Amino acid sequence: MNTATPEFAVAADDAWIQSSCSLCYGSCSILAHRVDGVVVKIEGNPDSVVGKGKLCGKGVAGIMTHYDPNRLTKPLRRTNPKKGLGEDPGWKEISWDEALGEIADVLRKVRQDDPRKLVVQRTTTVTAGRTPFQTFAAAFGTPNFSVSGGGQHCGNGAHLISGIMHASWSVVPDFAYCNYAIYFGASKGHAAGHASCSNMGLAADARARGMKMVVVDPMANFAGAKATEWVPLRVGTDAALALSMAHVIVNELDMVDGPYLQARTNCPYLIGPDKRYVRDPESKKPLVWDTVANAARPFSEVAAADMALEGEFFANGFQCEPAFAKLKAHLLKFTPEWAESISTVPAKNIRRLAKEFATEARIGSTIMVDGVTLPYRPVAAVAFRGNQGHMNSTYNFFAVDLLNQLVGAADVVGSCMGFNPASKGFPETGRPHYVPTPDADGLMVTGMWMGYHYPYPPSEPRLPKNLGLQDLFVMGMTSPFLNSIDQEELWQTFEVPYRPEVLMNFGSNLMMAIGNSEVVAKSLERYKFIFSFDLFLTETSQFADIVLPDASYLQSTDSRSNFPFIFSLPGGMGEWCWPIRQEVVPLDGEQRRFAEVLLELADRVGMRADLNAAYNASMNLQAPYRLEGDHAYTYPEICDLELKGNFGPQRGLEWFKEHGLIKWKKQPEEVYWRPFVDVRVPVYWEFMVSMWEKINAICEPRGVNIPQEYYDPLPDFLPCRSHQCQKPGFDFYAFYYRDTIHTNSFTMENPWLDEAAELDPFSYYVAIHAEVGKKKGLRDGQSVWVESESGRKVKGRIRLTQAVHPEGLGIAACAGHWGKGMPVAKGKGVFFNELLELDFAHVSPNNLNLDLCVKVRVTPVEA
Amino acid sequence: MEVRWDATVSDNSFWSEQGLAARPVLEAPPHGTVEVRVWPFGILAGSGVQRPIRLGLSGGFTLRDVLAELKTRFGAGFLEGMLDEQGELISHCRVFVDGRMIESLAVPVPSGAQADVEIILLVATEGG
Ligand code: SF4
Repeated sequence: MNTATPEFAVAADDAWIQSSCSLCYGSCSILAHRVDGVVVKIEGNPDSVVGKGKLCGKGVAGIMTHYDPNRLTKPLRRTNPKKGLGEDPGWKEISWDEALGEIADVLRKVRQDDPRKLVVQRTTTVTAGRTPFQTFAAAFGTPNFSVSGGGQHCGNGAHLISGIMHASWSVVPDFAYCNYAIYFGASKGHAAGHASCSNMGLAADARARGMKMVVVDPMANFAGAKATEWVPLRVGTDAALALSMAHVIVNELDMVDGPYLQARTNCPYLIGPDKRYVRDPESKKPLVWDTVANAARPFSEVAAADMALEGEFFANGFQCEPAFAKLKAHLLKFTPEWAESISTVPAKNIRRLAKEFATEARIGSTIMVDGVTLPYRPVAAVAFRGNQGHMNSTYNFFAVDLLNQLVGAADVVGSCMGFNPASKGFPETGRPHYVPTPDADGLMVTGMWMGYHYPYPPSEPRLPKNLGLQDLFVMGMTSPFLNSIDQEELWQTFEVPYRPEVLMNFGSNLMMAIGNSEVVAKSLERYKFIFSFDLFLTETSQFADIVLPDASYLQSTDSRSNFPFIFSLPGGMGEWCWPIRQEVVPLDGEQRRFAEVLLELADRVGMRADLNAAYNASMNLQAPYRLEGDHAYTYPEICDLELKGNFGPQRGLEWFKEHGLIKWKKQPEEVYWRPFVDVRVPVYWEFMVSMWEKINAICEPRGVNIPQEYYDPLPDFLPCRSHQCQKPGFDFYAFYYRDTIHTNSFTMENPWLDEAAELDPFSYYVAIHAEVGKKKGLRDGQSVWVESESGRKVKGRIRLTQAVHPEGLGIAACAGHWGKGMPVAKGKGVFFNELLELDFAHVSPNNLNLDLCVKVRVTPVEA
Repeated sequence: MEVRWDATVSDNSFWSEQGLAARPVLEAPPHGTVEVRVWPFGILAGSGVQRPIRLGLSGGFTLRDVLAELKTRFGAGFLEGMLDEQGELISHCRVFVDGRMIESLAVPVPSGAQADVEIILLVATEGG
């Protein structure tokens, strides 16, 4: 148990320490009040931009996670060699030396044999875990790196497409100026998520200022409850609605931002009969039709205003049309009447919403910000986890963003914007400096990314060398195939030349975070060796051979608790801010900090030089702040070098410990960077054509069908399996949503948050529409089984409500723990993921996103 | 200042190179032999080669020439994962010449009797 510590237990100890929260990946800046060696209170740090002095309930309650008597304090080794659901590992306490000795032996052997046999898995919850674990994986030599927690379920659509279209990890409305925001399955500024607390303040101010907020969602919860208008729709049909709105804007209203489409998208690029760009034979650049010269010319040689957006032309021996003309024709089929039949949103509402959005965009207007006159488009269509957690993940997100692109509301004042895609850096050093750049086709390449392969241009599909098959399915980020039932079959089919043997896990509870526990358990059983850094014994650590007791965030130091800026620093004007995390209290028992343990492991494995080189590369350390040779740096020393490299020799770790953070003013050219950087975004995804051909050339001979409609250059509505379910009695679309009280499966163990969730009418319940429930004879609070088509079932209590679509069934968070290691969490809430199948058939063949909606039936438990 | 969609960015100095903190300028190599020490890290170090790999290159040469020499010595497989189909560096392959990060293979390897080239592949994908 973590207790008051004698080092600090002196009468004079009464301090407020500046640090960073880590109850979710938002990493808000905190002030921790320590009295006599005990943290007695956590507040938001008003000096910081990250959180802006506010904390959510989880942040305030972090103290209870830190002092949880169920925290691990000693390394554990299993004595029962048999692994499986319900198997008792027979834990035995061992020394760190013994634990790391055994782990290093295993790692050394596997590295010598084939380093790719190591899978590195981390949770999303701890942002500061990203660099140390990615760096370790690179140094070790394995490409098999995976992110669990929310990441497995949201990243592949939302983040990839935010990267392609907005050069950032996520998008938000420019709250300070936006007048009309339409959210599709998103809660930015109203619950959890990137820059969560900062955005909550910004969104509240925007609503108070009069920003209209329309929330399209099967459930009116965190965002919907605060919205001006809630638009309930059938689960997973967001693309149908968004495409229909796009159709109305383009074909019925003709209210598009022509100059934007000409100058900043690939809408003018000529498309030939093969769906590809028509290219200049010499320069290979895409051609546009120059309306002044009346000829096809490379895009880079024509003034944007002279580029045709419509018309039929003849160029290079081909009949061709601008991409915009293709889009316009493509949208014709998405009439509001059609969309009503798919989404249940009345056609007249679709027309109204489209008109409101296009009108509020004030196409052609400008506004002055800090002395700079900029395009002003105060509307934003924002999507996130809800709309893209489906087979149609890519197009759901693409379709929503199309609304922004059509009216020029992309990274300008008031519009939909990425989080900080362009930074000129701290004025004294010019670091970190990044800005999107054009590729040879003029399309945008992000300046900064979370992984090191950028979302665009995509890699060339090839026979996969990695276990997640992302080498082949190159739109994929995280992959379900590390845990799917058909993983071996897929690896054989695609001739993956090795198999995973060792899993290094950092805080992920894979057993709960991915899909049904039976299949995930099988995937964990096949590892020869698992070691896991954990705060508690989770359902996943039960499969480990060795469990290492991790330090809590209040016991840790990190130079980049919140970095990079594209992840969780609020967008919009204001200040850049680089906070750190620092120890508030020392370690308890034999707990150790993961970053330090990784360094020791590198030494024991004999790969310190590789790790130093990997840190130089991943942190972009430049002389004189580079790591040299195989010198054994401590993690605080590495943090110190990074901080000095970025902020000058006088601002190392000690300076940051005293000041907590550094801030400097954002400039309009950074925040509203689009007009200043000559890049275009793809409204027509030409690259999908050859991508499908290459993927199909590998898959087809191996008997794997990759439907071409998932790789069309223009977005479409493609139904989920649940939409095709005809089984009698299965009349609800079950989905889960992120509960603002909880972070994934992690915080259910926190007693304050558990109490709050118990008091909340929805957190631990199964929400269905009141009228529908009554017709079925169900009553509020009744225990029911929720059962999938394939017979997987979970138990829950009914909450009858008006706030859910009549066909929807909403389950909060990732609850339903069954392990003994988190006794507060055990048996609370509903384990939605148990309903999810984990196989190729339930994965998007485009971006590997798992299908997260399930057609279910509900039956009373007593029956 | 007024910025319009159809404005060109040619007169915009904000994001131009002058706006950057000083980037290292690599000088052209001298004529004569330079000992290039190549340090492959991570998975690239697993190819059974002794680190550093010592190459003697003469005349004006670039990083592309260094990689070509590695290919000659160790076969095309050595460069696997470093280059894309066009023969350019993939985005998660990081190369440092004398401690300075290099983004293009066309960069000349700097002057002096010796040069150090460090290469590592970072983790390509990340979710969350
Ligand atoms: S949003 Fe996340 S980081 Fe911020 S206070 Fe809440 S739990 Fe902590």
